Amino acid sequence: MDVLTRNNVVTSGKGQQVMLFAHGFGCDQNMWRYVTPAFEDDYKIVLFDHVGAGNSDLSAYDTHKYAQLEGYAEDVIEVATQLGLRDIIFVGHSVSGMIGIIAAQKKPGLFKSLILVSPSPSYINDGDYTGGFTRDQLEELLESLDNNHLGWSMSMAPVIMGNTGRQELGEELANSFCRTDPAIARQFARTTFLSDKRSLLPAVQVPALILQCSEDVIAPEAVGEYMHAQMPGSTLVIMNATGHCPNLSAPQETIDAIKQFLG
Amino acid sequence: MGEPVNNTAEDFEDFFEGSLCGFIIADPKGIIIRANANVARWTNTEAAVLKGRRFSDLLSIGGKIYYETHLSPLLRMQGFFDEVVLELAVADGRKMRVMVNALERKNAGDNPGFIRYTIIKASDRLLYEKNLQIAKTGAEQALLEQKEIVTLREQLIAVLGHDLRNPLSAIGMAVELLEISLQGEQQTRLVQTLKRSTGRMKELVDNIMDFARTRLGESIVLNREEVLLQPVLQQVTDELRLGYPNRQVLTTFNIEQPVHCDVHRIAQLVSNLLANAFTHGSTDAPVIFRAAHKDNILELAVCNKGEPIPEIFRENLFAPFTRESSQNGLGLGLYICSEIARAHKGLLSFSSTEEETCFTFRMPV
Repeated sequence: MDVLTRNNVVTSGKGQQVMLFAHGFGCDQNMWRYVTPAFEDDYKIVLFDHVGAGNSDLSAYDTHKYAQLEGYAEDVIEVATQLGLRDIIFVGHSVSGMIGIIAAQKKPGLFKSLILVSPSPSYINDGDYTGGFTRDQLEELLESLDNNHLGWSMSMAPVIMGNTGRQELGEELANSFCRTDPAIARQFARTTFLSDKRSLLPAVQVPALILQCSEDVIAPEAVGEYMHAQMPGSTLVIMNATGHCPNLSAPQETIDAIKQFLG
Repeated sequence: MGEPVNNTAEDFEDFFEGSLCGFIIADPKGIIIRANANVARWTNTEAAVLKGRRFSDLLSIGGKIYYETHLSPLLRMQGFFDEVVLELAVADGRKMRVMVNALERKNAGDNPGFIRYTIIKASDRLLYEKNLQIAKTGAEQALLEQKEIVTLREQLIAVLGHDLRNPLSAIGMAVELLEISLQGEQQTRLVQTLKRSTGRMKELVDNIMDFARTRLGESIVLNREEVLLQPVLQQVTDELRLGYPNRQVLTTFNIEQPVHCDVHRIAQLVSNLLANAFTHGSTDAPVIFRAAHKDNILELAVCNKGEPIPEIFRENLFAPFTRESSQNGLGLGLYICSEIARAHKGLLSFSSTEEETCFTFRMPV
């Protein structure tokens, strides 16, 4: 199968240096829509959807492969290889931060630097480590996933059909916007929240920027500090932005922080 | 809520506080600026305490993650979300199921100004939905069980049919032997009756077995060979005539080439069609039996005069067990004929008018 179709790879930009943007758990490459325009002039932009999200090929979804973040990391490597890319600036939101770290270790030389937006190596509190969630909370989450209690099971389609209020979202985007297959969303949640990749952090060789929001209920501030302490040569920026998605809620602050890091 | 209102005129303050919905106004970051009394009551707290908390803090853990990862981005990009099922975390681990709509209002500079959340209690609705789900799962399970029972029953029929064959053929042989040592006319009549009944029973058992086999997903197994059909068709016709001494058959056979087919099955098909024509057709006119091989098509047609087939039987004429109740037998004859036709990659069809009723079997040769 063509990996570029599988992952709905979209490239743009006028520059030579490549920035590869990976979306996190919850949406698709649309997550970057307010950030990438700021880099179009100076960089080559590569966007993609993880298999199971957005306009990726849902038939390529393999329960076994994507039960581990490594499965997603393989896809990132395949996309980069297919495009003949090296020395990439990898920008990963949320769980894609860890997916980027895994890919970096599997294939040295692939990434020149890592920009991790709201990342977390592990979501569960464990001894001295604050991940943000207690075991009980995690159990509750897993149970709610199993029982279809919440909107996880709700098809997003009816929500995304009428696109009033935002002119820039055209008709064709409206249908694919943030589309989530409910079954895959549940699996992705499981893969994400059960992963513990703390042991990988000290081995990260490339420079990394950690963008940590204040009041992020998914990845609290302690997580950003932990990652910064564990990753030699990392830079930590605590943002004024709150929540888990500064790329949407505070695009300018996000852009500024990335530009300052890239110099 | 529910307290008497002093002034009878509607005012927005009362609308906000006294509605059955939960209303929340939050800043663009989702920090609650104001929540109404319903939200406070549902979350077991005071409205004043809710001020300054994140909207997602009111939710169960699953809802909180769903909100932060899915709904908040959607709200940001789309300007709203609606009809989303979430759970409010109440007290001591209990949850209240709600439907939430949210709208992001812009201020003058087209920047997000604030977010309005409308929360509607949905416990009953969701319980109803859950019950529907349970009923659906139950119905699917019952259907599965019924299908298994039907399969078992069909297997039973197949086994029963098979096991009935042996004693039946023993009876048949005993009758043949008895026939040889017969004395007196009465005995002869009795033995002839035995013989006919045994033959009829064998036919029924064979039909049941064919039926069961086809129902279990196997088609009728053919032993094809190159065979000259004309003598066979003649023999079947002659045998049938014996059973219906008062009826006439006019035959026109035009098959010179050998045909690759299962000769016993073709004989069975013809025998069935002729017997039907004798039974149902007018006694005044002969049955017409034409057989021809032309343009790589073998065509066998059996036609009779008389009343046309009633409209109500036509649609399911070839389905099993669909005989008129006045007839004896299981109503498997035409079903098995059509299965024989199908096994030969051919087709059995019929036409029925005031003029005549014809059953035609066509197969590619």
